[in-house]
Amino acid sequence: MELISLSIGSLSLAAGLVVLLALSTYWAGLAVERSLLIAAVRAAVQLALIGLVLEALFAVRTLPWIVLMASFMLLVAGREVIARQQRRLAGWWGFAIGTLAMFISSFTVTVLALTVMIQAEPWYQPQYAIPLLGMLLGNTMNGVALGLDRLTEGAYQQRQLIEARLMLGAGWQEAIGDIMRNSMRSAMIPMINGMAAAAW
Amino acid sequence: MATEVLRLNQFDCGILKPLDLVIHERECVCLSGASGSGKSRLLRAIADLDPHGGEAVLRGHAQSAIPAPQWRRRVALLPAESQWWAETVGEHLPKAPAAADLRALDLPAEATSWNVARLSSGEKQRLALLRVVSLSPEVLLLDEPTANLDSDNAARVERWLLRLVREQRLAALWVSHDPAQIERVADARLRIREGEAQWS
Repeated sequence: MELISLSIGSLSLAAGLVVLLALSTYWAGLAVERSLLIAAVRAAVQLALIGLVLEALFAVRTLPWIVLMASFMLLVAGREVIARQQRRLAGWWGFAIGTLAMFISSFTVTVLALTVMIQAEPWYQPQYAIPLLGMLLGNTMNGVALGLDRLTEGAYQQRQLIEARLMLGAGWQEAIGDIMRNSMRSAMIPMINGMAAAAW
Repeated sequence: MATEVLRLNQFDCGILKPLDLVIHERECVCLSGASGSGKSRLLRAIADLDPHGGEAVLRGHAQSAIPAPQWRRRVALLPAESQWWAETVGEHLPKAPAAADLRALDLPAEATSWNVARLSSGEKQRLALLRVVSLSPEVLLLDEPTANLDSDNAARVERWLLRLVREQRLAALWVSHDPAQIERVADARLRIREGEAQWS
């Protein structure tokens, strides 16, 4: 398979666009050009480092190292989900719920895609496994972060209503059911939007 | 001899001295004391909403042996301020209220289709009473049930509640500030002084 490699020239073109954006925001007086440039440099350095790690990983190609990389990606995604929450569940719960949800959804779909659809040899070939997992984790991360945030925020805002329903003998499923369904619905909006727009 | 309904054994709600109390069928015990003295906290603990020590026993069955939702339907709490989560009044009621009860509380038959956003505080209070009674509880924990009512409606609610307690053989623990009301409804009186509930 022929790989498409990017030249220094095309990378400079992309970097130039970022500099142009920074200049425009400076002229427009938005006062974000500093953080924009810092973020761009940080992203470039991070991507270069990830490139180094991936290069090493692609050279080794053994399952334990790939599992280690995948677990690291999952934990980082779990940390990001927690960082997006305004009100967090106490203790380890918040991290565990979000991370477990992402683990089950993205890992099963990644393994299914690798073994049944792509049928690479071996199935865990990192050139396919890592980018695929990355994309799936990115998508589920959005959904899980939104869903958890809506759930905890809803429970906080409506705590008196929840308590009133408990007072009248409702079980927890009934007392918080509306909030649960609403947060699941919101969590699926980005995905549904993505698919709806793709259909055009 | 009257049958015992609710018994508290060294019941400790956190801010009052541990309390022993027995309420029989058809009996109404009034509880009074300065605001902030722990009356509402005691009622919440008896309804198993707040953590507490000691034991509450309903007709021989310990609270710790009964699932909380079931306990709260049998030992029902009317809080000082009612909460409404759905659009119309009827959605909050487990079953359609009896015409006689609506009449006794001076509510029209169409009250169940009222929008909760338009209820006055007096209507809310009377509908909350109707709601808690529609659970067919064995014990009523009433936190100032006539506080938001004018004198006509207060007298109506008093008569209606007393008749319920007598006819349906309920046990009632009734928080009241009004000495005249206590005089009218109480079979026994508890008063909270310096963190201790005493008979008076």
